[in-house]
Amino acid sequence: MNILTLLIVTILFASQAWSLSPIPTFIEKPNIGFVDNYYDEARSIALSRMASDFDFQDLTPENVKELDKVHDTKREFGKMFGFHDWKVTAQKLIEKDFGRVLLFEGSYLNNKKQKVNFLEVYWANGKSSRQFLLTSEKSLLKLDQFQEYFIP
Amino acid sequence: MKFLFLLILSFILMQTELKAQELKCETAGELMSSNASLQEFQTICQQLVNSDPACLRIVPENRLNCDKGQDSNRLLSSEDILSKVGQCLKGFLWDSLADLGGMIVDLISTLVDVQIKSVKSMAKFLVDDDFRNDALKKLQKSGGEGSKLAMDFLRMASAYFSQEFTRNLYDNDFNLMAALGKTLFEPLVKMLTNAVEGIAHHYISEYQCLNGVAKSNTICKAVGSLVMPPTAIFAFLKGGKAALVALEATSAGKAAVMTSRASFSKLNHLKAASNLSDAERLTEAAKLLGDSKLSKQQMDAIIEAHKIGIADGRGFYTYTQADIAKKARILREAGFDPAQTRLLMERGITGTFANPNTTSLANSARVQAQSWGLAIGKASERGADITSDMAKYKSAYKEAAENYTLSADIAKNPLILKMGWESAAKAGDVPGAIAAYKKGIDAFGMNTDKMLQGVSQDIAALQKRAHASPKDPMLALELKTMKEVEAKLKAELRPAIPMVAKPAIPIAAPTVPKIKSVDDVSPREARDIANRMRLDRNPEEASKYYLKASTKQDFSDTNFLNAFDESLKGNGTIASQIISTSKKNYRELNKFVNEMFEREMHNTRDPVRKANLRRILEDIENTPSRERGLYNPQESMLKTMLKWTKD
Repeated sequence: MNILTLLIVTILFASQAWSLSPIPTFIEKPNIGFVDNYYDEARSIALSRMASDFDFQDLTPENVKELDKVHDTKREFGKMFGFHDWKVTAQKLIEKDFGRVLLFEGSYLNNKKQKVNFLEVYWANGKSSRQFLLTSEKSLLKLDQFQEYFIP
Repeated sequence: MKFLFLLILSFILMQTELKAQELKCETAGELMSSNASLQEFQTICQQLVNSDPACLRIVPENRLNCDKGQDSNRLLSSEDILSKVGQCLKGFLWDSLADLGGMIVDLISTLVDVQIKSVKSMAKFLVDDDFRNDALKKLQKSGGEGSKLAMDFLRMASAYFSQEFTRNLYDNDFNLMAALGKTLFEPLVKMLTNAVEGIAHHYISEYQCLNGVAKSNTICKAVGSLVMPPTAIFAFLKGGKAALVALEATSAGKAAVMTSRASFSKLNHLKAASNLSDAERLTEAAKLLGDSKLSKQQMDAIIEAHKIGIADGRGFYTYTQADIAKKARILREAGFDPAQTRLLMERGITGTFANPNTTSLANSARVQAQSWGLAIGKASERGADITSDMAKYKSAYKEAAENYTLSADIAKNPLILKMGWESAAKAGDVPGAIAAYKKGIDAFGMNTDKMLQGVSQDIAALQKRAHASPKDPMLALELKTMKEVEAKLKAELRPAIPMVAKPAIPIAAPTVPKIKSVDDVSPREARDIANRMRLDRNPEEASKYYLKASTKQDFSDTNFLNAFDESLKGNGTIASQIISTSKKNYRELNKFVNEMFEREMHNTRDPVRKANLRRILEDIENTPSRERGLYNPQESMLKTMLKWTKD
């Protein structure tokens, strides 16, 4: 009984840890406003984490279509925030034991006209939710590899 | 032919005059926000600067420049927005904030709270003033729900910005302006400067009568402390003028407005209505009412109303409700209608400043000094030359010290005197600090031994801080000054012991007045006891009495804030008690976080205070987020403060 309880608690903590913690190669950087920042120097990947208003029910195939509307706005108004020519090259909705995850893979040009690859991650498990943004000028950020960036 | 030319010219001028009249600009503020053409602007401007009482109070060289158009009379004209911001706003808007990027993301977060439904309109909201004002009006009416998609857009945009900003910061040698990038910089600067102007105009009626140069000078030097804190800008962007009215209702807001108005008057050599002679006062009243013939009874009433409150040391911003009611009654009884009465009172014809050279001026100088202090801190970290900034820092603190010492006399308040010697020590002004200490003994009957003991304790605390920050030039200066002050005070106040000891005279044991228990005193008595205890450096006890003195029991009450403040210096018990009560009310808790962010960050170096604050902040952090109910900006402030307390 005790072992079972321990197992449940471990699984619970593991899933929570995944949801909140980037892998240790990401070093914490100063947070800017409500955005927590991390950086993996070896791979030149920046990771930002923030709260999300999307809950588990928002991340269904029907509702995900709604999110497409936001793409137009990012393309149109992104330059105000330092990103131009924002393009999505792949997107995927997956459901695992740790919750639902919506992923967008793509690229944009920054103010210095350098190409930056990005991976947007929306996660919700019914109890909590988070949004993540990974960007890199050097590394490709593939949506199938997204679990590599978080503590399993 | 000549006649025909003159006829056409006079016809054109008449048309311009008519058009100008159609514009119906009765104040400089209305003119500046109108769509007047250059000719219309020039015509109306000439009329206004010679008739608007607010403009008449401004010295001519600072008044609107009617030979030019509206744009050159603005704080930032559209052509030179980038260069002028660099010159003017940089000092306050950028350097005074620990992290510009943080402010922008917080700003975005504030806009997220506004919850505009359409995603596209969210972005438009950021750059388009008219759109934003319309949206806010609609929102206030409907109390509408927000869109998750809109929030997602802004949150993700903040993340993209955050990452690009950090990349640019490293690439541009930590140059904030360059890191911000022109694309985000221009719309945001426009939005922020419009907000800054809106706030200044709301609180200071003469502001819109200034020309562009005077406006920029005023914002940079005088009212920065009022309009620059992000809280004021956020409040204005979200709630418009109603939020500014609410802000002024709080004690902190009221103090900021008073300080800024006093600084404004001083900086612009305002010919205040308070300084008019009786004859000038009556002439101005007649001009204001558009009626040159005032009756004898009306003239007497204006002078009589003007004198109310003067004998009791009250003036603008400190009049009581009874004073205001009495002034109004005298004017009404003399035959002025309600609109005329209001106009005479609002334009200051029937009022005066209590003491033009009082605490408010000192506070203003101290705020200036603190902002130089921040600049020095950053410059010395970079190893840059601080000579010029240090001179400005010392001069501002010296001005503050002189005004505090002077106003302590007027207000008969030893606490203000304490601010005087503290400011003098920061300014490196040994004679000034000694004069303030001696005034404490001569005018306020302070105990010499206790005072010297206090000086020694201050030096010990300074030494600790200087040890922790050995490169801080301001701490080094303060410490050096205090040591000199101590040596000179000891020499003057404790003459050398005579060689031949006098026979001992038996002295009766001193009778220590018994202090009433906190339960047995009225709020008024409690405040007096607390003030004494504060001077005697008994913070936790002082805190108890301040808490009793607080009638409102919330953060809008100075005594309540003092109770919290003193407890932070002591063992923090009362402070923790206050927070455990405030946690039950999320509005109070949000107010608290704001207040602490403004007051403590960058000002507090005392390790005891910092440790107490850290305990309280951790307690808030450990409260489930739904229970604590902090808004996004306050959550972010909490995080930043926690990080700072752990440094």
